[in-house]
Amino acid sequence: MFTEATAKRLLCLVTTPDRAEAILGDLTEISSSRGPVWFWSQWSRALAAHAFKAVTSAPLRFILLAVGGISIHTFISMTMLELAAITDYVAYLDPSDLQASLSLLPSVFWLSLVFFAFVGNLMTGFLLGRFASTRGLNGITPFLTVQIANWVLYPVVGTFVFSLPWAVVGAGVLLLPFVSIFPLLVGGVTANRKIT
Amino acid sequence: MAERQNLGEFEQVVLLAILRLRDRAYGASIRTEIAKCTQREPTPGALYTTLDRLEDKGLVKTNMGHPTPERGGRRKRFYKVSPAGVDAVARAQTAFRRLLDGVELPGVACVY
Repeated sequence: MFTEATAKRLLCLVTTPDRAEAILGDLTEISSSRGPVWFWSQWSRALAAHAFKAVTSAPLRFILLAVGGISIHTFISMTMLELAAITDYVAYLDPSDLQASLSLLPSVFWLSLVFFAFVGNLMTGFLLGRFASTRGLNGITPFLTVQIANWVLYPVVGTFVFSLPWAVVGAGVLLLPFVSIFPLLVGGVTANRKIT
Repeated sequence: MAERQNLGEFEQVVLLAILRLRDRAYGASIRTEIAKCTQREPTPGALYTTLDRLEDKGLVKTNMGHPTPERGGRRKRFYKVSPAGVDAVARAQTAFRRLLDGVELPGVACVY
């Protein structure tokens, strides 16, 4: 159940515990005359504003964190792709076999690719959250934005630029949140720094 | 010599609200004061990120109060404008008044 304790824990991911406590206290005080809908809507706006504070207050840091995320992710994913390829090197070495490989779903290659994409994003989120000199969720927000843009643009680029089969596009759209956005969030939250 | 800080419009509004509230300035009271004086309610996101920014710039100082029941047992974060903050808001307001000098606006009383 989504309680005020959870609300505080989530706020603590984007600001200090003292500030989170004060914000929730203020919202509780004002919401006594405005109701719970007002409380939760204002809480979510405060959470979003703090999460994207990195963008508005330090655009250069935002760009560096996004580039850092892409670099870490590329390095990790290339390594993971090599590992996944070991499981089914024919599909990896010969892209024309992609359709044949898809027909064998779920092949070991695709399952290991999904697993390694998950692990790669988990590691990227953790590293960004740990070394971004800011709180965990703020550290991953720039790269998270890139990943969300990637998810939104993937069906368009996949369909019209690379002419990927519908099965590949559909599988990607369904899988991307689970193998990129979710593990990235988990990694960043796990690495949350206690900055006061 | 301390670095001169330039203030945005909302930063000035927040600093002036804190100055008006003296030792009673915390998130909810600052919000209410701004709404009362400007007829517009700041969103919590805008208010708290501005307060954080002012604190990072050294223009306000904070201390935590005691827990109170009407806040669900949570403490208030009290804000006080630092000397650098007073200096920054005074310079900004002086500049505004210089610009206003000689200009007649409907509903705005001459302060000189």
